[in-house]
Amino acid sequence: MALVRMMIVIGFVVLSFGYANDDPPIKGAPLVRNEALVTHNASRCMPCHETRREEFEKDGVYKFIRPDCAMVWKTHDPHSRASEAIDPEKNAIAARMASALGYNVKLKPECLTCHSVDTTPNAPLTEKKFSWRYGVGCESCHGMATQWFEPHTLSTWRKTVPSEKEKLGLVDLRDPSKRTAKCATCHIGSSAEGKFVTHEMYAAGHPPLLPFEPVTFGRDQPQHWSLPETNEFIQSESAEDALRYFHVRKGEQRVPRALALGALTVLRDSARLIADHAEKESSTGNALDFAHFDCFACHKDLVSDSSRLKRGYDTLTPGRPPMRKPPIDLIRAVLAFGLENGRRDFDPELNEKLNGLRLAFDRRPFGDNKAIASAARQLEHWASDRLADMSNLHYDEAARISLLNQVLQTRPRSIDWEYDSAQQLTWAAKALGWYDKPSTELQPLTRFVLMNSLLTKADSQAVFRDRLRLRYRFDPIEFNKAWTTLRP
Amino acid sequence: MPYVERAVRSLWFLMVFAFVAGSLAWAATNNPPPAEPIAPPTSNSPIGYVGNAGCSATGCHNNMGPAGTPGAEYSTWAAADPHAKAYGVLFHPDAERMERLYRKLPPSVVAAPQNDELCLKCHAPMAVSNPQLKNDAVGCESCHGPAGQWRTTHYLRDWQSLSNDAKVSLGLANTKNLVSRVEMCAKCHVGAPGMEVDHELIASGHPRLLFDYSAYHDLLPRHWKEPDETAFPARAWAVGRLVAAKSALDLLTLHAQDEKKWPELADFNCYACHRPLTADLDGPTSAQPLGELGLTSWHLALLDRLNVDNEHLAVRHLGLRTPRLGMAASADKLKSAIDTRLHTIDHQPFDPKWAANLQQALTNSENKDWDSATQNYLALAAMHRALKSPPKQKDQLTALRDFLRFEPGHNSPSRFSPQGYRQELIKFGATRNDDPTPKPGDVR
Repeated sequence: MALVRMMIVIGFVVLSFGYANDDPPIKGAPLVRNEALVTHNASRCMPCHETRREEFEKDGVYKFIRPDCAMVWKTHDPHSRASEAIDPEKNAIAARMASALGYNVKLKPECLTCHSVDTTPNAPLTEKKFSWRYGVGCESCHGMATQWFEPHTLSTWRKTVPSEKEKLGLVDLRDPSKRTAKCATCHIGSSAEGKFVTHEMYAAGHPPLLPFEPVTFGRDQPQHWSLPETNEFIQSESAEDALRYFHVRKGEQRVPRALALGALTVLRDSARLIADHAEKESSTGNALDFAHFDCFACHKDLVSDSSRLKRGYDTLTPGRPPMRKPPIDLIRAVLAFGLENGRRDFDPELNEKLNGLRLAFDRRPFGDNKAIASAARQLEHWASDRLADMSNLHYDEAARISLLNQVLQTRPRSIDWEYDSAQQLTWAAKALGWYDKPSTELQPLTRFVLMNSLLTKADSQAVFRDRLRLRYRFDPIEFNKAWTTLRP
Repeated sequence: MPYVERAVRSLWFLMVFAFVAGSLAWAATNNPPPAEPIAPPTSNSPIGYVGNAGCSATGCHNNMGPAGTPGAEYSTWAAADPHAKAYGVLFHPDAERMERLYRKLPPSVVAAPQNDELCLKCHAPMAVSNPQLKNDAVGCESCHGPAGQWRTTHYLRDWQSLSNDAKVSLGLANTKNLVSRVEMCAKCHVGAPGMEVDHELIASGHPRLLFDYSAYHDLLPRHWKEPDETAFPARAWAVGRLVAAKSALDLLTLHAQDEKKWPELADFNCYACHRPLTADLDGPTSAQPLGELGLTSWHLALLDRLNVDNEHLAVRHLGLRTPRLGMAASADKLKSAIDTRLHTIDHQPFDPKWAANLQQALTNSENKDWDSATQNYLALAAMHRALKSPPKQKDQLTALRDFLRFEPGHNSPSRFSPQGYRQELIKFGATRNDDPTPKPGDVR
């Protein structure tokens, strides 16, 4: 009997030990233990926003909102399938990543923050809760609806100022800068919300993030919202009210404003991400994650007749991994547009801030985190100031043409064209010059850059391979030849 | 006939006298007493470089005889040894560009690597202290030691009776001892404090240092004879690998102790980063943890084949995520283990069975990256020389080498795969089964 008791105890201990260690040791937040926990239902939007409802006709609701926005989103928008993209059973890239990383990516908080609705965006990773029924669902972008769900059905909601709506949790997506900032939390990253694609994830097979141009990305989703210029209700409002409640400036064009302010927001939030991470690593003593460095400084096949040796290192130390440059050339076009419209020349200041950041990355192998944090923070604040500056300009048809010309005249200031800059400038040119038109003039550029931003067939390794090749086989000289022939 | 007897007796005395005088004269001219005794210098005596001119008189080491014969050491070296050209390469446009990039020189400043001490330390070592000796390149005294104190005495009878220590104290390098010889080579070919090819220099265009003593030695036009040619190939490989590993670990420790310079990327696996990204689409090819940058395996790959204490070999799996002081401590332990092994291996006689066993083990091995695979090939080639294996095996060795070769115009193994190399090894193994070289289990 004593022997049996001993065997039971030993068996219990062994089983407990086995249970406690059934997860392999993994970095970062532990896996969400149970799929059932990721269930918070974000489908409360669907009943009203999926299809036209007769009872809303009498209130003139469809003069303001599209009757089928949720249907468009659910059917066409890749955000609705974002959770499937991390399901190893449904997606080949997710399966490969899970195998390489050694954990189920579908249950990893670092993956779920961007690939599902993070219902607790301000919580630390270990305490976050998620909902994945509709992928990156409505509330990911519009904000958690707990407090504004009821009020937004009332007739008084429409004429509530955006700042009051924000207090209840509704994100002000009509403001181009705030809209860009919301997208950027995932498409660039956010330290505050625990969102970042690490080098380890890239090494496991995560597709490289495309350079972010918010007008193009919004258009390609495709947009499931009504545009101000065709919104019957907004068009009937006075100019004062249209601006006050909906950020619509009558007599202006939406796209140039969204493009210019979007670009500055991208710069600001890119700098903020670097600053936040560098500040954190200043105390740990670790180097910044490799994803902050220029991929192709390292990941390039070494050749004897090296173009890199021919062009030199532009005062940086040879062999020190440089920072991953934010696509700066579009910013230069925006600043040049500002100069044309009465702003002073901010280009020297931009050079100075960027140089400070470059040198901070160059101070020692993998950068001096304290110096990086300080330089990145300065760049972030500078971009914030420029954003405020450029918000006060007038963006009419003349402004569109002027901004388009500045974009087309942009040439790389640093050494050479790089894929990220070329891609962002191409999208900017297309958004400003060829938004609603076929873009045959842009055809020569398709050898070098993408015309749209959608990663279609996300499970297709062939598409993934093509996207990678686009980057590391980018030919700056041939692109420049094609780019310089473009006319508005 | 008394006059005839007296004449013969006088002639006899003359002959004896002539013989004795002649002997004395001969002894005097062929063994002149030294002007002063050969004694070790005092600690303040300068040991200076003399330059190649001091060694290359026709009657000394430059008799223009067949290459490798005694007396033709200098002419052998000057005609075909790549060390003779080491200074000249500094005038190549690539070297000028290297200097400009490394020193961040503006276009208005002339780039002159031939005047840069860092370059001269390896490309013309004697010129560091004596700039007039630049054209001597990696000359006689670079390897044999500064000759100021022994040039005029090293050919005298008493010189042979001096101990090694005494000779060394006069400045003569101990090239007869294989360990100290390889240590000297490793100073330039692996690196030493103040004279290393770091990642910044490589990024400026300097070739990566890929040193294997046995392979380099095989290519050199030798101007000397090894005392034991039978044992030499295997000993050269073993001692070469151990000493090079130790030198590499010395540098690693030095780098890890410098917070400002850490990490020194030349200590790490080049091709973990330097490869096209689409290489990974069919699965990661590195055994390192994902996204991690591991130490280079060039110098450490085959240490287990040399019976270095296994416990300390764990350092081979360390990488950038290892805290640097932990890296330094691990490297130190491995160095001690290598030292222990060097002491035992230095005087071991050559055992053909050991070489055959090693060849067998290498043929059956898995090699996770290009560095390990190339070390595998070089070791197989060394054992082939040691065992004097038949020509058929040499053809298959050439096939292994061709598999490892970079594509034209490339400086990285863009088409290498561990599986591909494994297939080549299997073919090589088949040639081993045909040849009569002793194999484990053979009964003779």
